[in-house]
Amino acid sequence: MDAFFAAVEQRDHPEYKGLPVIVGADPKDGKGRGVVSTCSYEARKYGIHSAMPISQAYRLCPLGIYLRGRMSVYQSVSRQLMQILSDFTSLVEPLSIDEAFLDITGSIRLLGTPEKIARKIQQRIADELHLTASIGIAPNKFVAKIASDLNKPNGLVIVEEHQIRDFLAPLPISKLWGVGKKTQPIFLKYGIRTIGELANSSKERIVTIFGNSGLHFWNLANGIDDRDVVTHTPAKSVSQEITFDKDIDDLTELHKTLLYLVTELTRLIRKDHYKAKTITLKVRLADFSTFTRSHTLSDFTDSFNLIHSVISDLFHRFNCHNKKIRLLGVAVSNLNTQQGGQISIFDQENQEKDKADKVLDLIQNKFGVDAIQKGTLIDLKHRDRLTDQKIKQDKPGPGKR
Amino acid sequence: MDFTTSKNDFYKGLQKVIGVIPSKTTIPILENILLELNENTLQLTGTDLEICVSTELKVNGVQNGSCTVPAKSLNDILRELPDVPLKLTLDEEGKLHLKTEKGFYKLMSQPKEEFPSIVVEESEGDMEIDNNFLSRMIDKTVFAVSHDELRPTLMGVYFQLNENEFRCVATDGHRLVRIANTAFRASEFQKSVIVPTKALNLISKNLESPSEKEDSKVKFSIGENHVIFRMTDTYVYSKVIEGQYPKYENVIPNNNDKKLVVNKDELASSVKRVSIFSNIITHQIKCSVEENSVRISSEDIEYGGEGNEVISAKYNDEPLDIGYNANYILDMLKHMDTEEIQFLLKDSVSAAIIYPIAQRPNEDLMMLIMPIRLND
Repeated sequence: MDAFFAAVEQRDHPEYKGLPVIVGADPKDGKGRGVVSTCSYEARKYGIHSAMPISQAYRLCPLGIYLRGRMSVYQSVSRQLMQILSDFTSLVEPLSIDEAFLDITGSIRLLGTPEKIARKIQQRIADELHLTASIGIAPNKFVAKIASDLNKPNGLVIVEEHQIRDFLAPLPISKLWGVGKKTQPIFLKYGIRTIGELANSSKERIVTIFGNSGLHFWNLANGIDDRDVVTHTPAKSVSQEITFDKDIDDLTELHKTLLYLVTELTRLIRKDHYKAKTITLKVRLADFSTFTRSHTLSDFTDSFNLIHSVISDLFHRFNCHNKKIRLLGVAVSNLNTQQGGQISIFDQENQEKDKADKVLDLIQNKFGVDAIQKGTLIDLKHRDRLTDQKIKQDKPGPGKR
Repeated sequence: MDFTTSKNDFYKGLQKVIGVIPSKTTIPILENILLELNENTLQLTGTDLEICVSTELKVNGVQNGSCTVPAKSLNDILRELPDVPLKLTLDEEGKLHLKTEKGFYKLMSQPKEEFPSIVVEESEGDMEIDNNFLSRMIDKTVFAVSHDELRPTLMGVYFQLNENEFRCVATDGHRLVRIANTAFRASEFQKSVIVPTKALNLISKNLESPSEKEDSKVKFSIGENHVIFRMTDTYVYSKVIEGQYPKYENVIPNNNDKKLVVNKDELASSVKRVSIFSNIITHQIKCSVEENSVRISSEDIEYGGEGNEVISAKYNDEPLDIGYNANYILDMLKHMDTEEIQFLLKDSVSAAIIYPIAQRPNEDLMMLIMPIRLND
């Protein structure tokens, strides 16, 4: 989708049409923290882009329309979008809230050429959602993703098998999945600036430099990507984090925040019937130094009480005494969806408390998260800051919005 | 320091101590082993700061002295040597020369002063335990301890010394073993401590060594926050795990009234085969107990495999389906000595109690295992 969050705002607020709309953190007259989630094409003209610090965006465009975003609305539009896509093929792999891979190999006989199918998808998105989408058509996922980004908004780029190498060659190396701030300088050091230059390097040389991921890079550069469109990939980890409005060192508040994060995290994993073995605490200090501490249990769990006690213990051992904290996060990984579970000898008391979790889940899933809460959390200051929830899937390559 | 000995004697002595050397440490001196020669007695000592093991062996002393050398290098060279006479001397540069008739080796050494000095506190109330008896108590329990650092008190075996009973308990929260021996007399001695797993493994290893005679005894004493086990020529000193051991007696049910008797080996080999098809993460198997039979089955939903076996049993109660972790069952069966064993069951979500069909004289062995909740 093109400038998804911003486009939804412009659609629902016609008065924003043609204006720079920036969805993200509160800029607070340039003193705000956090980043831009999405901005409209009008805002991009000012040099604003997603993931830019909100304070910098504010300097570039102080008169822009800054919105905090309405995640629940975007999620519901996203569901409508995926519904439309699934009318064209059953092989839909959502990559993020507003992106998906479609394998239309089987739909061509029924619905016409790939180009026709793409036009129909764009038409239905325009008619039903009043939004625009850009589509890339290619023989594999990697090339299709790059093609879709090339002619935004409302673009359609088709790359055929014999065009792949020429299509990729001029693109900067940073367009490759997995090449980021750390890897790009290494490529530059070896004189590789474009995907074409990488494709023409010897495979052995690249593997010597980067090991296994070198092979992956080289294959992608040569347009080789044989991953299937997978409709359901099991989650690898689930995380929740909060960036505070201002750095804090108040232990009570920090503990309360952890309690809140774990409550939300465990609600999410229970909803998807996951149980986790590895529990991770993430702490970012005022100077941006970031620490993670993990503990692996002997057994899988989805219990709030157990996960919270592990997180508290990790936090205690982290010993943040007198340090200002900017961000707190909790994550679980090593997930398993097997139902049932080993019964423990001693945790009778916890098992009783876990029953309360189940009731809490029932009520929250039916009447919303605010319908019922733990008493301790009533006066938590930053609950609306919880925007960074993630369910990471087992797939390489991030989808940049 | 200057002495002669034989490779076999020296190597055997080293084996008693080397297990305590930490594999990863931030304090390099702990990778060394302390050698101290006094007349014709060589003392070898190793420690990881929690546990200290020390052994004595007879050598032909020439000149008293001491040094510490890297345990791994010393062990590696001794292992590769045939049983030949050895001459060891410490030179003025602090290198330990190890001479055989064919050649010589030099090991870098550090002075004794660099080595952490472990003050082995003598504590009153030494008591004696038969070697076999202690060895058996450790063997029957140590497999069930926890490895979860979040619950440190479960990471060792709980030793309870009561008036006329010596009792050891281990649990990881999913299974529990309790063994008691009533042939034990210690009227003025009532104590309990949690002994770390590593110390117990070192003791077991030493008790197996040929220098420990069948009828010899281990002297055992408990101090403020440590325990010492003294064997013929070796002692193991260990800090105890601080904290309150869970009140395990409360969780052992006494109203399990459904009695199942099975042949131990038959059950073990069935479980082994069927568990090949269990889920690799949960190792879940289902035991369906019916009149005079047990059906053991497994199903791997992810890969579609299945296993089923029926074994005969003595059982006259209502049918029950219970899920277990196959590994827990196998561990437990490995530590049962009798041909038949007896399960006391209640329902599919409660603890099962397992006894050997007959107890040894003066002994009471009990194991407890928690089920896995079945899906249906």
